Amino acid sequence: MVAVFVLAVFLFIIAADIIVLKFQGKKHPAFATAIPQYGSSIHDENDISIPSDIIISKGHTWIKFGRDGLADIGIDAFGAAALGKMSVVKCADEGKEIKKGEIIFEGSYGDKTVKFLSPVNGFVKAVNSNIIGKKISGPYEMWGIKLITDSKENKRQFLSGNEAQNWMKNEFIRLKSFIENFTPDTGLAGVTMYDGGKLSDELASSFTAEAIANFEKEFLSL
Amino acid sequence: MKINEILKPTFWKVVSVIIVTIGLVSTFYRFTRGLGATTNLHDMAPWGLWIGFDFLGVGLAAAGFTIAATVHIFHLHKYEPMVRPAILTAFIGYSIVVCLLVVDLGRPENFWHPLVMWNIHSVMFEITWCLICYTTVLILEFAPVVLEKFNLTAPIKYLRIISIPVVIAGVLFSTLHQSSFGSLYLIVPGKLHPLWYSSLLPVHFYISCIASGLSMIIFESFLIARAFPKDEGFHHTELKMNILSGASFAVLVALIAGFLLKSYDFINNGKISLLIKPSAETYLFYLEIITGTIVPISLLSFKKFREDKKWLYIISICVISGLILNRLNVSITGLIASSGVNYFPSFDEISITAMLVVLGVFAFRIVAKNFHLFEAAESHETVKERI
Repeated sequence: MVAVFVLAVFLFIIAADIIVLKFQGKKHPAFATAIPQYGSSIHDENDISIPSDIIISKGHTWIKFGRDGLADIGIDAFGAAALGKMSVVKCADEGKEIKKGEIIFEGSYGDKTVKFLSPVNGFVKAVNSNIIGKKISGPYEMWGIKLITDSKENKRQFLSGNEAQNWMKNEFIRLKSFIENFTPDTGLAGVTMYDGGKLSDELASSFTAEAIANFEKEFLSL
Repeated sequence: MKINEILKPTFWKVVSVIIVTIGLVSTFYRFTRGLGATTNLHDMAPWGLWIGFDFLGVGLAAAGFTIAATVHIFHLHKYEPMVRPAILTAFIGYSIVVCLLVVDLGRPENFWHPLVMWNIHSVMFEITWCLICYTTVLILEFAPVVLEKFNLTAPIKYLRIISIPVVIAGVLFSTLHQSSFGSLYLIVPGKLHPLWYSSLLPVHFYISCIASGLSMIIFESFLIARAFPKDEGFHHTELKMNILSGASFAVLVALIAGFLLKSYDFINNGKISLLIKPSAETYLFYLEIITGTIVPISLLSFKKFREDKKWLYIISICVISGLILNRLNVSITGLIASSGVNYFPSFDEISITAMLVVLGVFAFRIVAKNFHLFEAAESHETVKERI
């Protein structure tokens, strides 16, 4: 009978909790309306396709090594669209030596600014001033900086081809968890996240400075 | 945390304060008046609710070693967000067990005797030492969370170096500990009811703790999502259905293994006839098997139930209920039958047990609010693994 008594107490507490939540006007997570979190991603298929001559850094910049010994560097499709349409507000200065991990671009999602880190060491040969202040469309056609760098630098740290596409897809899945965690208004993101639409350009404005710092740490660090 | 927030009364806070207050009074009586005056234990029924809860607490804490081994030894980093809550649950579970053991000892002031007075031929000796060693391992496994809070990076570095040996030691101690609870009952073949007595009891205990430990962590994920919502400033506490579904498949495998082992035991030892003998023990055995094994296996066999959070919650409750019934049936129901006496815990036994459970939940809440218990939903390792 002791076993039945303990079991009855256990089940009673679970039932009482559900009733208490009901009185508080809340729903137990187990019985709340299901949101299809894991079946789909929030990306446009075009965002996932990456040109074959481009390699991707884990800090969401892309590199294209040219025959002239210069490397074109830009922001990838994820970086260009993660928290809404992004504009480049600043690039590293021309003629400057830049080391891997230093800030190479600053971009803004609405009123929030994020920093992208240089994936390689090098000298800034040229800056594409045409992209400053513009929203990025066709990210792999819009280079931001031409860098003199050693093309033989360890390419194993970068991703390309199918590996890069799979990684990008997973980054968008991770992003969904991130947005769900940090947006104070899930409904704002929800329209885009769960109903198959694109991310709202207003999304970033609802984020706190802490959330943006977390975004940089989770997605833009090398 | 603001003092107003702490003092703001809620239903569960009021209930908890009442339970803890009554429990403290009962604890005072137990230590001042003795076991005889405050419990319904006697020479014919020396082990009661507290020993049953020890078995239960250790069984439900099994997720600690299961998840730690899954992530750190088998490198299934998908389950990483579960590691810290699982280890904390195990640590709190074991702490409750230690407290209950001290309360249950006739001479609690002698609790330290097994540390220096070794009886290496006793199963109790093995149980005691596994309990001590595994609790130490859990402290080492959880220490980085505490050290992180105070930015003590140097000790974390050393703990990382020894992390794999520590996890392996944890798996070993846990395996020994879980199974030795079963071994304890091998010495009472004439006293434990044959429905539960088996030479395979250590294996039964081990397999069932894996299923129920994982179910406990699934159940706990729902409690975390319910208790630490995003609008109160918590992150990464939402239900991660992809992880929970994966864990539920492991529960299914463990339940099937346990059921096959039990079937083999019944067939091989000619115990089938016991199943049609009408008695309170038989009904309780049926309740245990149907609730904790047959219903969960039937539901978990379908992917749609494994991926549905409502059903996953219900299934986890079923498996935990099965463990509650099993451990209490082995430690109380199965033994009381042969002793010829009746036993039901006294008010003080119940109130002390309830108080320790409430304090355990309170401790979890304090740690969750003040330390980085919930890690990022998906770490970079997870993503790398998926690719």
